Amino acid sequence: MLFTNIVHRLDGAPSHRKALEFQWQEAHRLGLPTTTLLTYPALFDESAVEQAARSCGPGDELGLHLHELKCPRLLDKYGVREPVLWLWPRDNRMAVIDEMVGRFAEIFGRPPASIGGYIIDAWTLKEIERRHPTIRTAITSCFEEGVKMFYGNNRNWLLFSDGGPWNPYYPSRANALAPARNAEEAIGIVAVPHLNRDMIMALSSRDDWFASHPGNVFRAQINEGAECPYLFRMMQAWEHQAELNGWSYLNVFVSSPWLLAGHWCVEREEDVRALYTRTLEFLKAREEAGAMRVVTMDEFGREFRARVTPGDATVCHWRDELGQSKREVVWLSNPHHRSAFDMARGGALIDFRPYDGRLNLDLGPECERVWNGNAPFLVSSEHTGGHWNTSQHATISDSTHSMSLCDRRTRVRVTRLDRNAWKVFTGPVRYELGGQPLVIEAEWELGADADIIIRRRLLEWKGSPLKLSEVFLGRAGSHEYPEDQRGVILRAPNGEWPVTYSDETRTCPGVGWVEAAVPPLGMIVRLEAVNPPADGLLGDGVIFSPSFRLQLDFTFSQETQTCLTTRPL
Amino acid sequence: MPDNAPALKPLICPACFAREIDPVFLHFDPEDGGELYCQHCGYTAKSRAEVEAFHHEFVRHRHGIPQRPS
Repeated sequence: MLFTNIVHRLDGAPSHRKALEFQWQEAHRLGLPTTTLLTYPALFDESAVEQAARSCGPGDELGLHLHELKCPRLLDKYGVREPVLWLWPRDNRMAVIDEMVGRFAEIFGRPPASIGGYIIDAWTLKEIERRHPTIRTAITSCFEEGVKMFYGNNRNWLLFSDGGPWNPYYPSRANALAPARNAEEAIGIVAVPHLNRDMIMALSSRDDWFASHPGNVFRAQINEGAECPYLFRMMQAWEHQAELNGWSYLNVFVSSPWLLAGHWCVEREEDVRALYTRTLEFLKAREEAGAMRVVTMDEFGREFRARVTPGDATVCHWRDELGQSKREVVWLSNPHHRSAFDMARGGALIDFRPYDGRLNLDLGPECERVWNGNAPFLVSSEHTGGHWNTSQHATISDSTHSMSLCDRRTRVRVTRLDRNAWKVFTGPVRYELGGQPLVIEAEWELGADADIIIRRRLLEWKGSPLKLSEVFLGRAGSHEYPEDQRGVILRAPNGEWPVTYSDETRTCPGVGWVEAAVPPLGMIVRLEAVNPPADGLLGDGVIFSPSFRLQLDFTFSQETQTCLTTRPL
Repeated sequence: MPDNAPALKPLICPACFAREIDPVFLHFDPEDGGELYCQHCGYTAKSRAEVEAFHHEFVRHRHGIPQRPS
């Protein structure tokens, strides 16, 4: 079942509230429940409060939103000029939240159950849980808003939350972008994303343009007047994710300025409003077809708790809904890492965010990271220049020729084997090596633990004996500029070597594993030969291209099985 | 050589070039009649002529040069 939240934001500005009246009216006409999140200025505006009380129907929910902080009352009271609450000093940040919750309870006779922000870090979530236990569901991050969003928004939008889950999850008490390992580690609040993003454009583009947001598609100019078939293809693709996970989530959160002629993206107000109405009509039709249920945020939180246990994993199989090319990407998120496998590069792992180090990603002036809330990567082909700089992939060679499996686009099938077990399968894929046909298939086993099992099978080859190399190219980073990798230790059973930018390689004959300890990420990544035995190789990078290399070389005659895994340092 | 087969000199992706990222080379997928595709941005074309038309049009708009010399 796909669960859908229709979320509104109630601002103080009268023009915004007029547009919100339209949003409520359309939802009520179709009998769809909504969640409206009140901002600080709205809470202290009598006419806005009266509007909320009057316009919300019996199935609707009211909650709080921690944005739109520009108001004289707030400035007079706290004197903080940061425009976004996630960067405020902690004392003042919690004082604002306390004041908002208190005011909400005073007006509506009960505290809120749902809250929303663009980034809510672990410290703030824990404080909200401790001080305001009625809050059980929260919009805590914007999926993959970070490096590309910063550039795309002309370097004016300092929101860095790359590297977290795309789906709702139980955030860890140590790191709000990491799903908790178990109930003890979980903050007692269900985290949901701000919008669903296109899971291919999230890698290769700014993904605010390509989201479950009828206004944003105008910004991307992927509409024709009030028409945007892509938006509905994209929303329906989330129904497919329910088949793979047992549940799925969609969030349509359009703040009212997007529906006004005054918005710089909106050429004709009637077009953007017509598309908003069509979006709600689409949701209603899918609900009537039994494909989704539209619920409030609070209801979703309860449905999520009934279906998902802390420690569970989730996958996403995404096709190219925008260009409708044959590119497919498979994502995995579990308490140990987030991974993306690109079938346009033969199934290479092209984005890998290890969570095992449980890094502190809290933000604000008291925190080490201040503004950079990105969960760091070991692999990001996008931010490091390509899969030849960071990825996990395989190469095949005979005595004179070699090729990379990245060089062929493959088709993929994803099958759910159990609650937390999936098989990702490509093949048979036809290559040529030295003019000779070479046919192989590959399979990945994904689950809730740290292990990713990779199998490659040789189906056709008539030439000289083959070598298959499983390669992991990694470097720690959280943005596009290379960071200092010194401190990383490369290890195999026969020794260990620190990264010094020496460009040296170490061969490790007959070893069962090779690994790298990565202190900046607080974790270890390992490639292990499960079957047959392999020779290992460790490689240091250079300053110009500071990726380290872990490699296992197999004799490739039938099948190889490799385990890529992580653990805390 | 068919029009959509791999060129001797790889084609650069015109969509990445339009974002001022280069060189990103197009790959060739022989299935389903053959397609040129970009691993980086997802650009897809059926033929080399289609790639070149995109590229020349962008260069004409951006740089005011009607035809990129080949």
